Amino acid sequence: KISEMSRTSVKIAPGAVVCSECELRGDITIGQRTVIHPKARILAEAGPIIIGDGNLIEEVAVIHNRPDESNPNEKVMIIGSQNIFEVGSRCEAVKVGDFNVLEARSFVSRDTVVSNGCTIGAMCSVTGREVLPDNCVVYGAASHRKVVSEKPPAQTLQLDFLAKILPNFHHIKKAGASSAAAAAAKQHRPS
Amino acid sequence: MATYLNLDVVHYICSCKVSKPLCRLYLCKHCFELRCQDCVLPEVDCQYCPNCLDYMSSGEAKVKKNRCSACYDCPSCGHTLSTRATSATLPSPDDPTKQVAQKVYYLLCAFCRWTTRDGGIPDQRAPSVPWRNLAQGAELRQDNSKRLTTLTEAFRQLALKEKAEKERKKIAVRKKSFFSPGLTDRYGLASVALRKKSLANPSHFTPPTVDIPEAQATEDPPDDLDEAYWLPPVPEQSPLAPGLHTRSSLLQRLADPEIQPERSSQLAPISKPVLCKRSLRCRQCDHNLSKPELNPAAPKFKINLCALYNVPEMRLYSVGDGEGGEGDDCCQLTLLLTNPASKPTGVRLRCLDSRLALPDREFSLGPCGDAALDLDDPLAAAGAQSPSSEPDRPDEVAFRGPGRLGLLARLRCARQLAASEGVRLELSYEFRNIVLPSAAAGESVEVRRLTAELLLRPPASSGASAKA
Repeated sequence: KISEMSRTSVKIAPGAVVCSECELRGDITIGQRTVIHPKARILAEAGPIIIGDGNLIEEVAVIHNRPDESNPNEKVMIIGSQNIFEVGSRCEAVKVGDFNVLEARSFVSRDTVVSNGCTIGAMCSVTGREVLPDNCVVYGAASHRKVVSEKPPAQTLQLDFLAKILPNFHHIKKAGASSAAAAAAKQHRPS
Repeated sequence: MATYLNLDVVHYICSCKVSKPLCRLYLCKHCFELRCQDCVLPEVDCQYCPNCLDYMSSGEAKVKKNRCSACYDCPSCGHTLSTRATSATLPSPDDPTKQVAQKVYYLLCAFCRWTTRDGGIPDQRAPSVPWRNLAQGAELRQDNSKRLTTLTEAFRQLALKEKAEKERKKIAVRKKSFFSPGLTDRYGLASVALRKKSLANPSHFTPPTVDIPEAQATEDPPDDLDEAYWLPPVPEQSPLAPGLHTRSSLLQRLADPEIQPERSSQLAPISKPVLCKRSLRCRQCDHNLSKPELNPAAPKFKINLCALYNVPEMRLYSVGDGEGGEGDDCCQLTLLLTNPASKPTGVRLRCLDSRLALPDREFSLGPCGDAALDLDDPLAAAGAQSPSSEPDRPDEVAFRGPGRLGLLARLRCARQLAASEGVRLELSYEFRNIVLPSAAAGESVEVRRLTAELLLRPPASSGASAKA
């Protein structure tokens, strides 16, 4: 929609590697050293999304600030640093802390608050209205829970590697603020 | 088991009158009969660890208690633990005063993220270490085993003593007056009697000197239950009640009967149980039907008499609409016959309860796919024409392929089929039995005509409902 496209404004911090092929809609801020793979989708529909530093957002991952019928106020979705959103994961949680791992095809709903160091296992969905405890692990077909003693390790090596390799194979969005008009112009240019 | 094919449509009847899909049957080439899992005697060849594929003989496995010595299972979820390394600054082994960065190892479950650190086991300097013995309470368990061995020894000696007593009672049941040397030594029996007496009273047999203390009550009365046992009440909203995660679940506790951990801090890595490689033997003739290689990494077989490799397979290829031949309760089926052998095979299908109208002659199936590629003639390789001299008739044969034949059949009373068991067919085929080379002749191939009974059950949603 034209109205949505004109609202798209993306602020990319220096050092972040954001592939051009990802879908960014709405008001998005991306922190330093964050890597966003192609085909990732970040949709700031019901409000802006602020993504912290050192995050890794893989292909087909969806970070969606979804409009809520029961609460139509605009809400800012804040995602902390050093998080990993693996392939196919879907995050609609309004608040995500640091050092979390959302494994492949996991789903976190809007009502859940993800604290720090949590691991949401592959294909698990967390939909309750609650605050997940720190260092919580959700695993298994029945989404079992347990709390472990330490957070998942930070993937600095992986982030450095990707920051070097991705620009060799994909177009990267330039750092800085891209305004609405420039974004609209880019959309209309034949690709 | 998930398959692409619907295995319930065509069943073969085993020699024990049970119907099974062909992939579950074996052909005994000595009895010339189909055998199912129940007609077959399994034997254990060797044990192997499913993780490291290390295989051991049955005797060795008994000593190791059917567990792998190197691999461990996660006590929390049951998956295999993997060894991870981190570097930590520790006092170097050469010079205790200096702190050097060294590699330390711990076990981690990739599924639920349980680590040996959660179980209270410190990180180790070497990657392969008996992790289970390092868990809490390991010393107590070893203490028990020593005590158990002393007790078994003591009881073994007691058993010997009781056995000797029984022998003595047997010998000593005789009237002693006749044989007491005081009264008669006329026949030189005194020495014999003395010897027997000494045997009956084994004075050289000292009782075991193992101390088996009497059972005693403990001096102090049991303490009241530790406060930690009384958990605070679980609030209804929180799924992860405070303190609940410090308890082990029932499944976790039962998975480790040696420790029976009550708290999650007591969970210890469980030695991985081994699986066994088995060979199958025909119950009737005692020959091996399936004998795999000993090495679990090699999926080959020394003997493989699966029915799929020896008996032509019949599948229901397609169900067409009835062509109004015998009323509208009729439908045309295409049956696919596949040749498993690398030589042309003659097959003949016959319907036993006259519900299916089949062409009544013998058809020749070309060699199966891989062998067909070696043939010189490209047409024969494609299997487009019949390998025998008779040409195919279009009202009998739908198509041909390498080693495959599509036969047309007309099914009568299709609607009644859903209620009944199915259509019984008889497949007669040629089986090439490779007889072992004898001294005189070379390896000879004996061709036998075998029959197999089939049960065809077309799925309910076919032709019959199309007509309705």
